[in-house]
Amino acid sequence: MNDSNVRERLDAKHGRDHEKRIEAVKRWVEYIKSESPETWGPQQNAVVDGQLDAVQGAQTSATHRKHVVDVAGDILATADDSGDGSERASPREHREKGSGSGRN
Amino acid sequence: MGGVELRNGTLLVEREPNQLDELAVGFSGILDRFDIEHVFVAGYVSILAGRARSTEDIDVLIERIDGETADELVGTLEEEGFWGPAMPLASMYEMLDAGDNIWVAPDDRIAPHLEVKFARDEFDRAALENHITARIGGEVIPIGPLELQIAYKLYLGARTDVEDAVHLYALFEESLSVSRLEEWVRRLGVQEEYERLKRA
Repeated sequence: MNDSNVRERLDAKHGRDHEKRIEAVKRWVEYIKSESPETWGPQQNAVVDGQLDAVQGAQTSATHRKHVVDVAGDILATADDSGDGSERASPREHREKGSGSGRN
Repeated sequence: MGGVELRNGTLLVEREPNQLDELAVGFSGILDRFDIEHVFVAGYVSILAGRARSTEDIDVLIERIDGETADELVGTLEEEGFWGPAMPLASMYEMLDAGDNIWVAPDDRIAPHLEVKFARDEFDRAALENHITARIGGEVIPIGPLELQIAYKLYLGARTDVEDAVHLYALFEESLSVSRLEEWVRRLGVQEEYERLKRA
């Protein structure tokens, strides 16, 4: 089997996967049209809230992130107070240098 | 049956609010205190309308505000228990003014968070100026017009975006303004994607 065959098979598989996902979206729409919000609402919210609960379970990450932000703020404030005339990076420049995260 | 309906220009959602809805409602209330025009857009609109997928962020466009108003807003957000997981909230104006977004989240959380940005291009401004009202859990929030949301999702074109467009189109096909939808499709140059959406 050459690379071309592999690519064609992968493309075909991706196409089938895409069709299946679209079909699943449409089936869900038909379901919420036909059922009451008391039936489908908790199911949808389980999907939405479930992932958020999992992320929130990683509290160390949030605490660490806040610590990093606080320390960065302190450092910038100290630089401002020093009045040494050196140019301070803007938040955007700071972020682009890897000191914080931007859009996901 | 159902529980999601577009009636007289208002999206009525009858399920219980989830964490995203509660965050959006709370943040919208704070912006309202400052009379800051705002609109929720993108994936959150699909989820609000029943799409069964997860996200950690809620995109919200706001009208341009000055630095003083931004500082007052930041003060209130901090009093109300919000922080900036990516950059300190004190950087809000500088970030927004530079065309970036700024994350706003409940204290000690990363997710869910709001991604706030100034309305900048014609599509952002159109969402802001032509927003509709969504009602959930006895509260109301402004959301982007569904026709624009669908066309814009087709324009973005990633798998999740297309699926969001399919969800909104399949759910509201009978209620949408075809002329408005096709106008946005034309202006965003996604006629081929729209034809595929209609056939899906």
